[in-house]
Amino acid sequence: MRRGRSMADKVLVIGGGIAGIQASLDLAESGAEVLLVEKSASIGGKMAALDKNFPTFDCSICIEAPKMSDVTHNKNITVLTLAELTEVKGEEGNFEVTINQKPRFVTDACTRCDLCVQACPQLRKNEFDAGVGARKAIYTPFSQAEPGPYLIDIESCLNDPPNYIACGRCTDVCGPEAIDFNMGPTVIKEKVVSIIASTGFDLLNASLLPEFGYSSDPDILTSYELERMLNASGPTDGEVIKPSNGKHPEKVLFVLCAGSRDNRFVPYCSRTCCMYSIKEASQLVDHGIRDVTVLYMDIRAYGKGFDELYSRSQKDVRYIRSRPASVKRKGDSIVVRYATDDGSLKEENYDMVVLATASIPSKGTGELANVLGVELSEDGFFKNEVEDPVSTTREGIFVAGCASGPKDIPDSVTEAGAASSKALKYVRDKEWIEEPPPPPLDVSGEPRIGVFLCDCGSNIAGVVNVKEVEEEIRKRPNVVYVEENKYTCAGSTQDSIVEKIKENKLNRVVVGACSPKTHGVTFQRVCSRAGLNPYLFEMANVRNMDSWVHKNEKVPATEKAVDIVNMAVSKARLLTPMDDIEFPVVRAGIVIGGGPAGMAAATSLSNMGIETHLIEKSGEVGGLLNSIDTVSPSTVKGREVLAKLDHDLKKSSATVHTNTTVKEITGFVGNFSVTLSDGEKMEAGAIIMATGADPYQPTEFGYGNDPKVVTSLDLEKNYSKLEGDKYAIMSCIGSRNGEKGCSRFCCSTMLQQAIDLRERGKTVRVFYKDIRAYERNAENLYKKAGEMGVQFFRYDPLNTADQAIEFDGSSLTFVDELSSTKMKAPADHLVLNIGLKPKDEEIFSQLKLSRDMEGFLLEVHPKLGPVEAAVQGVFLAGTVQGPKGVKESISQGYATAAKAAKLLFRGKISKEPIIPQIDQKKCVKCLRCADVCPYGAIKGERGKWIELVPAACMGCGNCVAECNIEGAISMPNFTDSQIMTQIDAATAEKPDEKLVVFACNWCSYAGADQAGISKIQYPPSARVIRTMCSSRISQKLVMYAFSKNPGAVLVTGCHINDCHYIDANEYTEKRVERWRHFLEAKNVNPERLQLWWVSAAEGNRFASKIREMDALIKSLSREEITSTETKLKGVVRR
Amino acid sequence: MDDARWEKVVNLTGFNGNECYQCGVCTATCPLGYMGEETIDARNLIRRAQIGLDVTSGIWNCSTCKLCEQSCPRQVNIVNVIRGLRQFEFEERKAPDKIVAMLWDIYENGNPWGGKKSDRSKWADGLEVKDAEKGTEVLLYVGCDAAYNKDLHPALRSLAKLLNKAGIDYGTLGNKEMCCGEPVRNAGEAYYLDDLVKENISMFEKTGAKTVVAFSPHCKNMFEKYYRDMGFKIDVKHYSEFLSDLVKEGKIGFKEGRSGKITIHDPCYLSRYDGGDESIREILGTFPGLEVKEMEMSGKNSLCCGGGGNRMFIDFEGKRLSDFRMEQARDTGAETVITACPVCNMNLSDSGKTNGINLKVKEVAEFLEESVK
Repeated sequence: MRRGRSMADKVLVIGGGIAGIQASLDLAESGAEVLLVEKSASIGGKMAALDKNFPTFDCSICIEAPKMSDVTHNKNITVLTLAELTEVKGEEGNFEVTINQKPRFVTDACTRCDLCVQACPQLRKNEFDAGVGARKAIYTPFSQAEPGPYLIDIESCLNDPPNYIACGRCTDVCGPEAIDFNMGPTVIKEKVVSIIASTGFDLLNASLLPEFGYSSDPDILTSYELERMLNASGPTDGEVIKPSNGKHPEKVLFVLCAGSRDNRFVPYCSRTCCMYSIKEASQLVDHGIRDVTVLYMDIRAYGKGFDELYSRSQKDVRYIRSRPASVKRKGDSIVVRYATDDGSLKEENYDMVVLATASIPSKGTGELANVLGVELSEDGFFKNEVEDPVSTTREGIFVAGCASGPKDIPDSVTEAGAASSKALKYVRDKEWIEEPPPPPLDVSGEPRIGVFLCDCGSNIAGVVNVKEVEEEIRKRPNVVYVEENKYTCAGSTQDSIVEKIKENKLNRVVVGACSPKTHGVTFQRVCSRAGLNPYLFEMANVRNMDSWVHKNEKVPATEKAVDIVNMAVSKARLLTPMDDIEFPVVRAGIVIGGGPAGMAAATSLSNMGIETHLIEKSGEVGGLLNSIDTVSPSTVKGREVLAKLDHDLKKSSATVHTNTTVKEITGFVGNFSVTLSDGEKMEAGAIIMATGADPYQPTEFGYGNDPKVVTSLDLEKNYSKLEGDKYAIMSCIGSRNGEKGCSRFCCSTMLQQAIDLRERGKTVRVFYKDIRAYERNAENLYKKAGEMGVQFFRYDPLNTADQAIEFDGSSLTFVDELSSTKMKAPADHLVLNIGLKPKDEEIFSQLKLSRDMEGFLLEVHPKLGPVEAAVQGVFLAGTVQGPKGVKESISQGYATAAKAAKLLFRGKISKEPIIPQIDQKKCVKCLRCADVCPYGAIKGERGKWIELVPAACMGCGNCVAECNIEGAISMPNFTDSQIMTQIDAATAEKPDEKLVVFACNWCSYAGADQAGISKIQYPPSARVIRTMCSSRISQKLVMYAFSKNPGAVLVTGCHINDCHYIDANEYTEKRVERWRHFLEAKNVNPERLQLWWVSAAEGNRFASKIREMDALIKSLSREEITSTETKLKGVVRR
Repeated sequence: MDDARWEKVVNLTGFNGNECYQCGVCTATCPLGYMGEETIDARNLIRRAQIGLDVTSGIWNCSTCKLCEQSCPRQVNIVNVIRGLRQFEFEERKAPDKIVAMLWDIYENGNPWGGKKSDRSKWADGLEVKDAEKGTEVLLYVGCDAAYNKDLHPALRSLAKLLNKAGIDYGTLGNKEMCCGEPVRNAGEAYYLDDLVKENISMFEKTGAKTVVAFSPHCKNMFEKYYRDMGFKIDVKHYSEFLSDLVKEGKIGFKEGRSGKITIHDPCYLSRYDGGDESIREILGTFPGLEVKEMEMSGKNSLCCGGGGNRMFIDFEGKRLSDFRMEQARDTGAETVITACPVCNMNLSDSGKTNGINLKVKEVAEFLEESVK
């Protein structure tokens, strides 16, 4: 019997960390009903406790909290906290599970007013703050906790039901009478079709590491403790202090591999510690701590952008390859003894030592495995296979995230998607439970604007005086309500905004926080929940474009914040309600590229019952996997993995088109039209890009001319005919060089090849920078290679192999960094361990897909959107998104299937109504607009009629900018008057010092966001106005801006050929050129108007242009600037 | 680089150093550094062994105390690497002269101290100790260090008395007892070691003993770890373990009320090699009035006396580890240092005398025997 409200099949997700959250959302949005069981009092897991994420420095809770609140608001998901799975019966497709839930003692009536906490006399260590902070017996783990009600830790409470003493302090102060000591434990039995275990990890108890002195000294911390300390809502409000005396430390040491890669504790690599320690070290530098040292063994910066962060941090952080022998308090300092590569012995004093403790299986993993009837590996994590990275040893039960070994957030999120796609195979009955929308609020009267200003912990409030902004904004017309929030995106704050809208009869909402690109939708949804039309919402990007980029200029940053919020308030005043346009979705998916990622994607998508086409250029599927002998770091053979993938693909109903390429893709999300090279045309709602990457073609060491020099790929194919006895393997050929990052998979390949060669009796020398054996089993390979007598030599990581090592045809000359000795060694053969380089496919530009710095396809978000492109309906699987191993590619393949499925199952998609409105009365039907439309969405006959085709329009606004007739065509949400009022607000104070910047939603605005994320500092003169495309910017708007006497105006957009509206930005280019001539003719210095292209990844390029423009403004005379309005008299229209 | 040389080194070190990833913990842990002296750069020794380069210095300084291995993340058997390198040097005829001389003493007299064979059992003069060759339950292996050092004779006599009191059927090999081979192993003389061990095994087995009780933890370790691999089957115990069992079984009774402050120096070869830092404490634990003041480094983290690994046979300049250790012992405020190893005993006693530290150094056997009814 079904217990829920829906007819949908249920899936059980165990563990509510980021992997469990993502899996629940992916499943629910595909129409499954989800039971999310979490052991603790809140979902969120470890990610909720982290301060910032690497390498982007995203505020961790800021990006996770919206997902958490999505989970609690999704009617397909039931969250059971304080709950544990106790029994599983049955089999895949028909499990019967039993869950025990402990009582919370606080009902949903709780309003999180916190009065009970103030009343409670019982003080306990706060587990969420790693014991650094305190909590009461009644408490909430953290301010963004979901579900929201507080809870009572009954062990610590003075009451012990059913026995009560007369404490009752909490019940006395609780207005809504939410405290209920009569709550008892519940036993829940449910039928589920599949189970996903996402139970995460724990950290090794640092007291077990005797030489690091953790238990003997309060100033020896774990990284997790420091993370809480760095957090603005942590126990020290973001201050880094020595727990021993509350003072700021001056010298801090980070110790990596504390328990990891250590046979006494965990022999494997914990995979995230290098990067979070580099991040924390950089944060300490930001906190003004000058002397920061990191002791490391190998820096395992294997992911996208990791090496870049590492090298950036080397300016301020001292990195030493070593490991302390002892860490001991002596008087005022902590004395650390260690030996270095050059043979010297150091004894140094530090104020604080931070230990990057090992990740271990989460407590209870063994018991859970027993209940589930699945096996664990030797390392204590869930056991799984290469070809099925989210499988367990039992059919129908899957695993995602750290439950199958340590991994970072994007890898966990990917696996969550992959596990969902596997589980969805069993979900036959689907339903999307929706509550009827609340009655729409009447918004016809005078604007009543409510402004919510976010502190973002200290991210904003640490720089901007939010109180002052609040006071200023309160004075603006139509602003009827202003409040400051610690975290506006927290679920509880979202709920309170809904109430505030109703209470204060707000009909416009402005949130002054972070980027609309990451959080706009979240707050639009909040408005909808209150019955307010979501297009009556506007966001002010105070964090990414102000506090993060002007951290040392608190006063100008506060002034800028006032301007930014005021710009949003001004625009909000003119917003009008709009309704989304719904389109049908073609329920078919096309997977381009038949390597392991594409095969996995196609199989999984098809198994979910979706029409699937796999397009493969060559005559056979498998891609590079066809050339791989062993899929390291596993010991499984490539051909076995391929056979399994091929078997699954053949069993599915996906149509495989070999010897076929995609000639052309047109259309948009839900409705792509694809033409194949054989002329076949097909329609699809989603596109999965799995076109792979190319092996790097080396020229190093005379490759190509010298038969003694081969690549790792050549070697894979030629184990049977090896000549010579002495082999040297060169790492990082074509990787880790300038802009080329780490290729991620190659260290494992290198170790496996070294072992293979050694097994064939060869002498093997490996030349490396860092051994990045981060994956499960990879460290074992490293150890095994050593045991077998493979010789490892480290060369200077700042050089490439061919710079550091000389090969004369029979011997190698080099400096061994490990012993600081110059050496010469014989070599019969060189194996160049090559990485991957991006491909350049025509369809990339047809789909307008953005590239990262290296040229791989850019994901929508590096942490939480690893397999989605910024272009809706397009998903990224495998090495097309960045170099990675086979297992990780397969994982991404499965994950894209889940993302595509949730789009396709719904059968419809809604589109923002940002589509121009033509005023038929004013329009003269000249069709200039139709001529410039990149999509041919405007039809008509000159002088006779005109019509816009909404489905074809993408909303760039190029037509509006081209129109000469006042009021004939306008762009909703980006109307002339809305943009002009933003200009007014931006230039209200000291206009001559200001730079008005127009930025396009896709590239340059995102690039400006990126400058913030990377904390690239620039002068606070810029005021950014966002439009969808630079082609929306018209002569009228630019001249209007100049009439306000600003220092300068900068138009920014995507690089040519990167425009999201085909070629709309080429019109911008022509127009800006024309306007510059126009300005010159009017005696205005044309240099004051400039055009600049910035991609979404180019934060630096954005910042440097602002610096340049700011310098230009400063070089101009005030008189020159203030006379602009007069010079342009008569040409400016209002 | 010479690959032939590399292969030889790698084989001699039993591939033990190969998995080392060069973190340097060993070098920074080496207790020689506590005297401000140059430590043994174990990490560099291993590095050079990994790739077959000449080892320049340090290998003969090692006391084989294993403190470095304790914190080694790869759990490399560093002492075995050093022994392998010593063997390499020995075979290249580069071993120090004093070591070679010590080996000659063993070839000729069965002990490294230059004592006469006929003096070996002098310690037992006047005591009733059975000749094990006639068959015995327990074989007491005296060892060269105690047998040829008069200062340790009282301790040996105490042990014999305790065994007698407990009614144990035990005997010794008398003057026929030979070196256990530990100094030979630590000198890298593999061929003679092989002969010596085989001869000892056959001699031990002839006694029909069920247990070998060794006075020195060094000998005990040799039997337990090295002899075992050569097919040695008899059960082995250090005397402190054997006594601890007797105490537990109630076979040794005590006078009431022993008081005072003592401290314990754990021998490396008991605490770290065998993981056995319990037996001494168990024995002392039977005296509730006794106040045990632990030193800063104790149990498995004990500081070496500096005498292991053949350091006894080479002259070193300057402050000794045992000097440092006696200072640590003095700082506890104890009156007596209890230990259970002839090497530790000799070194600590000597350091006490030369540095004027007025602390008694006593074998746990002697301390126990003083209290027996």
